[in-house]
Amino acid sequence: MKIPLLSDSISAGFPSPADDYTEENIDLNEHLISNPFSTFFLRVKGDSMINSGIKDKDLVIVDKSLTAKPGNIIIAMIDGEFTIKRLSIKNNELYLKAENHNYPDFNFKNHIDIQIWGVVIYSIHSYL
Amino acid sequence: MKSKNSSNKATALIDANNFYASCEQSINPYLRNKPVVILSNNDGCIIARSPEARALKIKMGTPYFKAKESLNRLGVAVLSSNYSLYGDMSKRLMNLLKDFSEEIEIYSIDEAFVSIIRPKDKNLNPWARKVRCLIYQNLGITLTIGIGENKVRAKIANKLAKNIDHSAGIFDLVRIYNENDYLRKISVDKIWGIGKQTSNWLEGKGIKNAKELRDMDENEITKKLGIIGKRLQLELKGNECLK
Repeated sequence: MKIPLLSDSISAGFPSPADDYTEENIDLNEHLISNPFSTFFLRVKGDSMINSGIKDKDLVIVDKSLTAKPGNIIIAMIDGEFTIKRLSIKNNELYLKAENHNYPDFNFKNHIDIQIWGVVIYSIHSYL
Repeated sequence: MKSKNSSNKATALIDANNFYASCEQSINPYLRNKPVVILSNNDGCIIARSPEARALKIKMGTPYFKAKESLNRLGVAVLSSNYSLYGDMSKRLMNLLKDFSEEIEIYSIDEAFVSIIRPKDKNLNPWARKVRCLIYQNLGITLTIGIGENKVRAKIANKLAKNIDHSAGIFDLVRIYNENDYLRKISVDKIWGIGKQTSNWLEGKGIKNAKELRDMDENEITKKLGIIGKRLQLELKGNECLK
């Protein structure tokens, strides 16, 4: 289903009276996904990424064709489970960082079974 | 009918290893590196096994009720088939392969014939490594890639890629100097287009493998198998002649 796009950006101050006319239809798949054949949706469980704005039950869009770079939020497989973390680099060492002080970091050196599964490109949060 | 020297086109048979089990392992990290079997509709019998399950000598086609106890004992993960997942992954695979080929002919849910241009006098191993790598990163699925001048030889190359340990899942049958040794490894009943009856007849004539069939007397093949047999032999020799 295509939903009309009302304006390019929402002003957080006063609404503009000139924005009464719809200009194009927007398909979220098209808008958010550039590599459809390597993109997957995953549901987040838990609050380990809360400081990055990704919350429990959010939907994340993951592109497996991208090569993860430090700074990216990624999905990794650690010890037989999916986990969502930020790929970080400190003192020349790669590690996976939770965005919540209550969760530990994972150092690639100490964990032999870490595999990066894909790069998170969007998260979708419901306000209801 | 084109002769093999006038064409720089090659054909690859690309197939996914243990496709159903790989799909499951790809989206469920708990199943990675574990023995996994997939059951047919209504959990009737075993229709797919991960490499780890193969290593445990679990047989294809075993009825589930017979295998249940030993699967339990061995700690094998048992899954009902999830055809919407396999269909989705197949669609992704075929679409990704399109970017690497001139033409693609989808042959089944997990295999496709792909036409590619062969760079002059080069083998296609680097191309195949790229394809394999990309599909593994994008879908978590491991491919076997066999390359030849035509479909018959691509099928043979695919078999060789599977059977030869150091092939790394890739075999290009075109530029190898000891081709005869490799063709001898393929028994006639494993050649694409040869059924039970034909292979019995060939074996009766002392023709046991692909090399011997390729070098067999042309008239004798044509007399018995007609144009189909003749075409098959020409393809074994490296000519492009289907269609």
